Amino acid sequence: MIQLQAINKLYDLGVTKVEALKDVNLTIERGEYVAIMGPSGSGKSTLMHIIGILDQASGGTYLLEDFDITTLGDKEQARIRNRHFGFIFQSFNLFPELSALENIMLPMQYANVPYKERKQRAVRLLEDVGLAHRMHHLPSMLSGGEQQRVAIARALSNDPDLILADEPTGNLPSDKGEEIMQILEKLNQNGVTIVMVTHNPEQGARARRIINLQDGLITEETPVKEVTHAQ
Amino acid sequence: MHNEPLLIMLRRFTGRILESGLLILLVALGVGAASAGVSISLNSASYAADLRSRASYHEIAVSVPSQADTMEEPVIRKPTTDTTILTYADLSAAELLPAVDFAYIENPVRLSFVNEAVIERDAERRAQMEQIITSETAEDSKAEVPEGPPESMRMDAEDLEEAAQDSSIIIARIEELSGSSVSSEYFTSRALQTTFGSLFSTEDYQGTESVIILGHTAAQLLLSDGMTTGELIGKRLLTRTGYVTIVGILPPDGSSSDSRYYAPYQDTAASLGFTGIRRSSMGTVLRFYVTDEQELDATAEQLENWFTSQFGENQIVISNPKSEADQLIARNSSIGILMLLLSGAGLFIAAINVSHMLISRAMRMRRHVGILMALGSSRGSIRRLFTWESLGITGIGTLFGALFAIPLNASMQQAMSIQTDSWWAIALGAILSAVLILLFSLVPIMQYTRIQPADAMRNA
Ligand SMILES: Nc1ncnc2c1ncn2[C@@H]1O[C@H](COP(=O)(O)OP(=O)(O)OP(=O)(O)O)[C@@H](O)[C@H]1O
Ligand SMILES: [Mg+2]
Repeated sequence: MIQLQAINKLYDLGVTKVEALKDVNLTIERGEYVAIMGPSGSGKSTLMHIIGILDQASGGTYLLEDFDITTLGDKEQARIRNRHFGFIFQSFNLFPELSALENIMLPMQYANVPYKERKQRAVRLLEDVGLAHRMHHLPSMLSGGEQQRVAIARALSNDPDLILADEPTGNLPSDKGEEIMQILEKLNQNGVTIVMVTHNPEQGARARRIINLQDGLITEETPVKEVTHAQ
Repeated sequence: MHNEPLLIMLRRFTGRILESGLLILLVALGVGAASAGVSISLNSASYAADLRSRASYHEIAVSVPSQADTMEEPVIRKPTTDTTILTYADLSAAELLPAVDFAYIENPVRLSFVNEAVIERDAERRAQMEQIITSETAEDSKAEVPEGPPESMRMDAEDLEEAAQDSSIIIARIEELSGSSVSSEYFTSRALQTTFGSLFSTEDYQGTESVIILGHTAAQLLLSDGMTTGELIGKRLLTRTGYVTIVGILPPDGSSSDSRYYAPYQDTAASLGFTGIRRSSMGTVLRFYVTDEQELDATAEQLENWFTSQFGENQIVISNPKSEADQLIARNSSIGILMLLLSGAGLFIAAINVSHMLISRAMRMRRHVGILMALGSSRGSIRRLFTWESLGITGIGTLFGALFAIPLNASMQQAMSIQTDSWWAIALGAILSAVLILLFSLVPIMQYTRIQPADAMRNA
């Protein structure tokens, strides 16, 4: 369970200060599927980064399983990102120097999974996203949709409890975006918590809850009826 | 490689071979120049210390001007040089000078050995001569027999055959050996002891027997198969002018005197014919050993005065090795310092450039750093990753730099006439400069110790 209490994020630009998040209170339960929506610049990515411990809040408390993560050192924070979180980005963020397989193996290296085991597991993950035949391809040889599926496989390599997806379909044509949405939905059905930023109201409606951000403030939380998408 | 983050670094390295090569070249140039500079200045300092500790540094040499010296002098003086003869008696000058601790006389000598090759060549030459003489006598009967020792003094094939039977005689494989005949103070001034045999006895200096002491290397040259060095003692050597007996062998001292031999200086010049004196006086050197180097200059001047009063102006040459060595040392140390400064500047420029290139490389890896951290890398392992890169570049560059410094250092030292060659000076210079470059290359690494992964990814 994630609890954000009065989270602030202030970007100090010297002359001006940008308040990207203002006293955000948010609770995300295990197994939830949350969509974060709002206009550009409203603080969606900032919120995702704070949840993912990729950035530090300027104020407020972040409790993860009732544990204040700001008290943790760099190494422990890295360990949480590695073992419990999976990130999916709008621009895929694969390493261009590594093959699809090696990209998926990398997070397991930080989890000290032996070479053979991480290779086997990476192959299985690639099969799961339907890209076994692209194993040794560099990202530059893959289409956008394929790259994003490799990125998802990479996010899943250490069996995360939480997937943080920032506009995962933003750079994809709608049919490829749909493939990604289906993968995420399937993951959620298997118990993985998903927090997704989207501009697409249709995609938002497929989550169980929509959080609307406006100028760093949560303006409304809409629980979506189970019936619209379940099973 | 079973480490994916390192694999990224490696592929970036090989994927930008031009940039990577340039980085390595920069390191190599910086390290090469700096280690040659360090080596040259260290070696010139140690060579200076070595020069000052040598016995020859403490010896003022007194000699008759050589033919080469008098060439530049007015022709009128030339005949006078022939009349100046330095003898053992002239060493008495030392008694007037309290700073002189030892004085000895030295005369260049040479042994010409007899062996089969020599006999064969002699026979050939004689045959040729006879042919010329007979053909010339047909036209002109005034042809002269070529110079050389009189026939009666020559050792010939018969002697060689005889000697071959005698196990106490050594037939040298070499043809010649240079040496010095020295008075006994030579050995005392250097506190020399023999490793085998003994030094010359008083009788040896009085001169009836031909005896010699061999330098370490010279002894090795005379060994026949299966013979130990010690077995040379008491053996006789067959030379053109008769037999000489080996009485002692000196320990190695690392200088050119190792390959020479020593004979007792027998002050019988006066009893030899007039020509004998003239010949021996040409190369005769009186050496005055002054332990206290502060006294060298003053003593040289006093010797100059004394010998001038004895023989007149310009009849003798006084050479003070201290002033010569000091000049060399002073020149070398200023070259050494200059080299150190220049190479230090080169290293500094290289280090700054390396740092700059690594920073720009690291800048381009900002996004990578962000993603790596998102995927579970701690700041520590990011730091380690970049440290590996720096170590790799510095390591390879240092290796090339050291290889490049070896010939650079050698040719510089040759130009400066420094005769020490210690690889450790290059190694020390290479390590020091590698450490400096590594320090500079750690700057970009430090940039990533504070960065937030979110910022790293956003600003890519
Ligand atoms: N590093 C930064 N320095 C200064 N201001 C920043 C920084 N990062 C974000 N901001 C500002 O914070 C606000 C929120 O940014 P954020 O990226 O969270 O918006 P967003 O909702 O994700 O927008 P988009 O839909 O365009 O991705 C914006 O006004 C942005 O300009
Ligand atoms: Mg955003």
